[in-house]
Amino acid sequence: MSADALWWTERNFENVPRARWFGIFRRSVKLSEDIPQRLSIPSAILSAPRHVSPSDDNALLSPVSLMISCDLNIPENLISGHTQQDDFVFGSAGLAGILLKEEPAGLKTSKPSHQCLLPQTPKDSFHKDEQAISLPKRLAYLLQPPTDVLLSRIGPLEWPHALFDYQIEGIKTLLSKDALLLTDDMGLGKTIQAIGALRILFLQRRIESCLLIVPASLVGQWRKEIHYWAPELRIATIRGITAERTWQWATPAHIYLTSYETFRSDCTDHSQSPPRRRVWDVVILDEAQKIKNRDVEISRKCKLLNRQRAWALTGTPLENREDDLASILEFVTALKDGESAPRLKPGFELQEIHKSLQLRRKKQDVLPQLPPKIVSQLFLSMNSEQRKYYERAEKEGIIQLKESGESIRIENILALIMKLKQICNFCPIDGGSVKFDDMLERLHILVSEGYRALIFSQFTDSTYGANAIASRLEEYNPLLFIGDLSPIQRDSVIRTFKENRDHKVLILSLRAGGQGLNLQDASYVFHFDRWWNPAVELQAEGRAHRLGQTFPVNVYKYIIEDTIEERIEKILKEKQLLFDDLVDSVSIDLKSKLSSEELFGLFGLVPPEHLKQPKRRAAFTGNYAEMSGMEFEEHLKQLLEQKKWRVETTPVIRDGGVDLIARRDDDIGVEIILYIQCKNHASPVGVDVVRALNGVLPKNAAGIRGVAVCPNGFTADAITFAKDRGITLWDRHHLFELFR
Amino acid sequence: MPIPYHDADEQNDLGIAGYLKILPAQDESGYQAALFLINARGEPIEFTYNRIETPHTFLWRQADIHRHAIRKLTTSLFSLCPKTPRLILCLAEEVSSELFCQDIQLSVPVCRIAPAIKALPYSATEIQDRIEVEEPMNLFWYPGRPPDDSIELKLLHELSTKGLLIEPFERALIGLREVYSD
Repeated sequence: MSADALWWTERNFENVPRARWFGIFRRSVKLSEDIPQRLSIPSAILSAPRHVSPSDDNALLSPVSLMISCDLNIPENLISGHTQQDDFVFGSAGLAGILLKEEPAGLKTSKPSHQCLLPQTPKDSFHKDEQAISLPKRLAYLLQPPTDVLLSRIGPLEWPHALFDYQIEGIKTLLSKDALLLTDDMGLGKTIQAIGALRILFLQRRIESCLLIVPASLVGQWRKEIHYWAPELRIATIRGITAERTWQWATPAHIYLTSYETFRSDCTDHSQSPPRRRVWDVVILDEAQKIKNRDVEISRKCKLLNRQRAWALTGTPLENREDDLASILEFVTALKDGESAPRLKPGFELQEIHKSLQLRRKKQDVLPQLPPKIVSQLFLSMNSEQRKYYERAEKEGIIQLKESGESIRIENILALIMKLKQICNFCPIDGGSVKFDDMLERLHILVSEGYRALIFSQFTDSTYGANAIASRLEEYNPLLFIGDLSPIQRDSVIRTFKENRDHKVLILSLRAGGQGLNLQDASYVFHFDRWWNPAVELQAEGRAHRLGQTFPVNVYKYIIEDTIEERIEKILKEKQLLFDDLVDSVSIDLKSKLSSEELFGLFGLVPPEHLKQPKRRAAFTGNYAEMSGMEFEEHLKQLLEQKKWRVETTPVIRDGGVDLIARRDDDIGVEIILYIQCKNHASPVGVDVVRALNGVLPKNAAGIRGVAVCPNGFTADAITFAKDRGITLWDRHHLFELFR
Repeated sequence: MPIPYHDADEQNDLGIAGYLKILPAQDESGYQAALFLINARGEPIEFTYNRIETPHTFLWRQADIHRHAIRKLTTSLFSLCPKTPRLILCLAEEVSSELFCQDIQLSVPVCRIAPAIKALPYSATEIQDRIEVEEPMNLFWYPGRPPDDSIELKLLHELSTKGLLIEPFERALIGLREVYSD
């Protein structure tokens, strides 16, 4: 018994079975016992020292500080536990062997492959054969929590959202196959499945390194998704100038994330070029159609990589393009050092290989599992020309603001915000747009799958807005629905879109197209630019996502990284103003959402004294029950006028009509009109009242919103009806939030 | 950045649970056993294993030999285990009540687990409890059921809600088969 074993004690030592033989003597039983063995399994640590990741958890410091950090912290950084620094560069599976202290020091064991983990392999001893896996390693692998438990929402791993069954199936397929071509329909979560599989592979110590090659515009998006779904994984993002990329390739990380262009530059014919000098446990290509042409350089270089596993993700259907398929499938194969990628030719054999390596689910296959609406935020990085122009405009704008001194107004800030928003859409110099490029790729895929899309933009002009988008999407016969159209023209556009499926895309200005339209024919919605108003965006999405829609609606919202869009998004998110149903302002008035300090702070400025936010007055705590109907109307009118609305009271007509009409101009000078019905009822208002309001609202009139107000709320039917018709409902809580 | 398990710090404080797995050798020559320690997240911490051969003669009662063998196996595993678990879990159909009620005294609670549908004997000194996971399970505590606000019970609750009440026994079985398969 060890000296520390105070938690257990043996008792009744005399209770050893004794045989009585002919009543003469008693013989104790002797049992042959092995020597017990113990295996300590190092924890799956994925901790990183804080000083390697100062503000951005995945950002890396300069080479000098990184080297210092690495000297001190490499052994603790990695899933491999205690390792020597040199081992990192090679990333070999020998690292895993060093984990387990039973291994002789300095031992170089081979990579544990799947095949070697079967019980048939020799055990309990070290073998010089490269394929042998020692018992400690096998046990360390086998004793990890099983995949089903790890993927379960109630399991030990935290998943930010529950995974759909088909996604769990996808992850399990990725885990079980060295090579896979994942071609699910767009919007089904190929990214999530790949990240989920990586997470489990790393946790189960089946892999140590992953190379992820994606389109340049999606590098930021992938970083965010990995950070969201597998925050414990360390990412090295390979980008920037050559000198920076050199140490980025050498940085300890689980996932090395880079773009096709950067990879093409860094992967040379020399076998010691950074991407080629190690055997990657996993290589993943996103938008793998980039290598469909085997004769282009990027395609050839991807196939040079030494890899244990190869996954290719693409939403582009490939069944009818055998040449494209052949090139992609040449990548989707494990490749050891010295081997060359097989050359595949169109034909029966290719089809058979394709069948065995592809996992494809269409939306209709998994329809019952999908929610009615799937919203994705897409974070994109600008290309260099657009970025240059944006930064220049921002700098010049800030200089102008500073030069204004005390005469600066909030409108100046808003004007700069608007200008920068426009540049985020399109570069005015060369018309380049990373948003448009991404959207075009997605349109290409979804149209080829037979779907149609709505595109919303705040702007309508031909440089930054709806007209600019339409002019670039001629191949999809776009239709345009903007405020300039007459009512007859609008009806014609909508009818044409519904009746003629040759029109794949309908482009709408958010103001004109955000309400009252039934556009269930489209199942993809793109918010080309954000309005930062959940109600308005919801209303826009509601054109497609409504009764009669047969497919889940995929909504994509674009945000450009390191721009005003991202900064505002962040502030509003922190203030819960993007998702809070209570904030149902009908305008895009940033002034009402952000304080002066916050608005000026977007550009590192401080508001002058006269613009600093006054202290908020105490919220109204009056008792609505004590007010008569007229008093309630008058009270609401005063509240609206405090918020700079021009309010008129309509004549008293007892027909359930409109009580107040409120008008105001929004940031871009467009008039907003609210038709308000006030019901100070003791119980929740029913659907009849909302229906009556809907009946009196002018149809297809831009900028007009119906608002029903009742402090005691609304019935479920009333809420559903209102939501479907785009009518806003204000109850006591809304009034409190809106007017405090 | 550490794995973002739910309430990671709290889970670390919950400590580790020891799963004692005992099974007869496949050739009936004796018994194999493992003490599998996991933390509240289900991560494996320690795996200690051993086996014992038992004679097949008429000289001793098989029940006595079984009891003696299990005791020796268990003490050999405990003697090597460097960490003190918060509680020991075992399957009632593999471990009889005498082992911990009479033969080995522990300073941590022991919980023998059995499906409610099975009729299994238990000692009068054990406290019976019940838990609903995927199916109702009977728990037999010795020396007593930990209080509701105790760390031991919190640990058990954490493990059971994450599907880790019975599953680790399966992993321990896989480990034993890997070690002792021919």
